[in-house]
Amino acid sequence: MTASVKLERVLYIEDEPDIRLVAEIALHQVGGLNVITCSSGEEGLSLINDFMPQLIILDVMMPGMDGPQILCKLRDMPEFKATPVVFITAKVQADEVEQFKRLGAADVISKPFNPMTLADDVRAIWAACDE
Amino acid sequence: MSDSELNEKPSVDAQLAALQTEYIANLYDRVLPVLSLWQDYIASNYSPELLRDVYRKMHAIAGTSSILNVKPIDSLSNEVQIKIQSVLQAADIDAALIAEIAMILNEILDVAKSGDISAPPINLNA
Repeated sequence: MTASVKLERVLYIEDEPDIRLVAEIALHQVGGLNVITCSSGEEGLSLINDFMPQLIILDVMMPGMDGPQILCKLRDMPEFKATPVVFITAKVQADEVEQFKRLGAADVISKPFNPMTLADDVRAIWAACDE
Repeated sequence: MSDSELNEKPSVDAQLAALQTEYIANLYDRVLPVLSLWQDYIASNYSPELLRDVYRKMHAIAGTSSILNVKPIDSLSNEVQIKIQSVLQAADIDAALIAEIAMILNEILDVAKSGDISAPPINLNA
């Protein structure tokens, strides 16, 4: 699905504006990825068909639709049924990682992420999705 | 973002430093509504829903503080989250725990108000 395809387009849904800015710096300026950030699941789902992200990063705890709820919506959309989804959350425990993976997440990145390595971490998850 | 926009931008270090500075400068305004919500929670005779709102707001502050390396706020807000979880999981209200949460929230507000926050550069090349 992914190994032979270069990761270029990433959608990141996160309600905190400062974290969105850091993520844009980390993923676009440092990592060279084409990134769109959104503040809510509603906003993300409204533009997803135009952007066609290859990978989606979701904050877990957000007002309104949270990360797991957005994942459920994505899995109901034929175009994004198999799109890798990465959860991002603070101080994640091992059992929570397993719980998120059971929900269908490709992986979990814990906050605080390192802005200098976030894009590499995301690319590694992208590559692992094909193994 | 186009390549020309990218070229005109300050360095990554400078952008992250600016974000950190701005976040610290605006922290008091972010923390104040949490204290207000906490007072609503007390006035409501300990509504779990209001406490979950306080938790969500502290979670947001903790997450942003951790990424922007604002360590004193990161640490205190995590402490609050752990104590709130204990309250939410307990069958009865523990007055001592409530008092501890109130104390830490006030400490966060004091730190935010002072603006005197030690924040090392964001973990570049860590």
